[in-house]
Amino acid sequence: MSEPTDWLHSKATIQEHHFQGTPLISRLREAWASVAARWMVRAVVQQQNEFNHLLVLRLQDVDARIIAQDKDTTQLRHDLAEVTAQLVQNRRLLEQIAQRLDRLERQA
Amino acid sequence: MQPKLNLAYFSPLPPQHTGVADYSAGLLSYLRKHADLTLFVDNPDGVDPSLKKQYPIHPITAYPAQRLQFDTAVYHVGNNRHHEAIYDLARRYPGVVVLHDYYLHPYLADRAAREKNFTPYARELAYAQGLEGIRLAWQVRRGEVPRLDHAFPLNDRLLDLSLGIIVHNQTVATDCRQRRPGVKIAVIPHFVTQHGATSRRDELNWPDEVVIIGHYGYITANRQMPLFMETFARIHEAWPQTRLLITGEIVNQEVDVAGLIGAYGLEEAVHVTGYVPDQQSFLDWMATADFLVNLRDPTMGETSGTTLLALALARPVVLFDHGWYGELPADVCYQVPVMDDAALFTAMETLLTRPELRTQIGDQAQRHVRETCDPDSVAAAYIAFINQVLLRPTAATTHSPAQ
Repeated sequence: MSEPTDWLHSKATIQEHHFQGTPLISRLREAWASVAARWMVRAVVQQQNEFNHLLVLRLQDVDARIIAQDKDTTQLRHDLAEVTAQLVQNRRLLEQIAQRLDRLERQA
Repeated sequence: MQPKLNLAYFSPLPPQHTGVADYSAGLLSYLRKHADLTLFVDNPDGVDPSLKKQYPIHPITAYPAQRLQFDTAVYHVGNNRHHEAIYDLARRYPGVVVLHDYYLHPYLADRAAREKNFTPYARELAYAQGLEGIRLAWQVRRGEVPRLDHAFPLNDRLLDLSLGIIVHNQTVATDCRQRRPGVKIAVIPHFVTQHGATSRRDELNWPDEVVIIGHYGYITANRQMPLFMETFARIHEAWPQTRLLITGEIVNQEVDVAGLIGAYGLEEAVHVTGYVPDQQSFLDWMATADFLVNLRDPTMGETSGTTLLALALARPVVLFDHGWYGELPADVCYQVPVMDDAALFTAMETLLTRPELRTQIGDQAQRHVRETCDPDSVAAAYIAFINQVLLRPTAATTHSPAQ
């Protein structure tokens, strides 16, 4: 079994993209990005990462609540089945009592 | 006097190709002495005509509207798609569940793949394992881990929902109690009706002196056919007078039996009957063998009806020593360590070279089945447990189920 990391959690952090291509082109693009975009983008990425991590935590919280509700519903369904079974038993008993009463009344 | 129980009964039924269908068909005739039974199935028109004559049979979809007429529902739940609608209804309207397999995980994983609907599978893993279950389910979905069929049984919800659980062996009962200590559970042995059977050896045109090793029942991957065939090939090489008789259906083409026979050059030494629809013919083929090999790994927690039929016919059976197979007394079968090819070879060698041992084990096996698998006692135990679950006074004539 692999490491117990949540896939969603592992994808929550945005990684900086490294340019591909010839070394010269890559260096030029990196240099241009560091002048034109890096400091602006870095702040946005940081905000996005914070949001993503909060989102993952929130989704885990939602999952946990769904699981808890699922367990509660299952327990309630079990309890309902018990009550239904007792209802059926009581109805049968009532029918028997009614029949006995009927016999006794006819005898009286 | 307590009126008879009125039960809604959910199970695969003949001619469906599953052991539970045969089990139910047999059990019904004993249960009906104690209870009024109405059967609910997917397709009432497809049910064996002899059952249709004896019982009211309704479509499963009719149950919700009728359910308050019954004391409770009895659901036979197993690890294959024959139980699909039954499983769904047991979740919607809980009753008494007869758990034929402890592990429902393979069925749920197969269903998710077949229906291309992953959510119910993830839901069950989450129900069983919490947030960790969701993480695991997504790992399975993304192919990051192999299937988890035997890591988690995924029976938790049924254990929580049901009014009572009936199992056929102590191994499963212990596992269920460990998962859910409060569950109402009864261990009721698998029943066996004592049958007579006639050997069909003459039809095989094999010399009189050959020793026939039998392999019976549905052939799935967990029957470990590659190991068995490889061991039989070695046995046949050392004792050319051995033959192998294979009777049973290959499920979902999981195992290439013909390929294995060809790979070991055993065409002349092996006879494959395929699926045998009627039970008497199946038993006759079983009586044809001198002893059987019935391997299962992994075990799903099942109790093998095929093994019990063989024991009832006084045929020794070679088994892996785990699960229910390990619960059998050592003197009624031949247990070997799981996947131990040397021990399997020794077991087969011992039984084929010692006919007096085969007779001794066979006699003890037959006695064991007669003492523990009586169908009347089994039916009475079902009724006693259902009465107990429903808090009905137990009739003096019924037996208390094992706890």
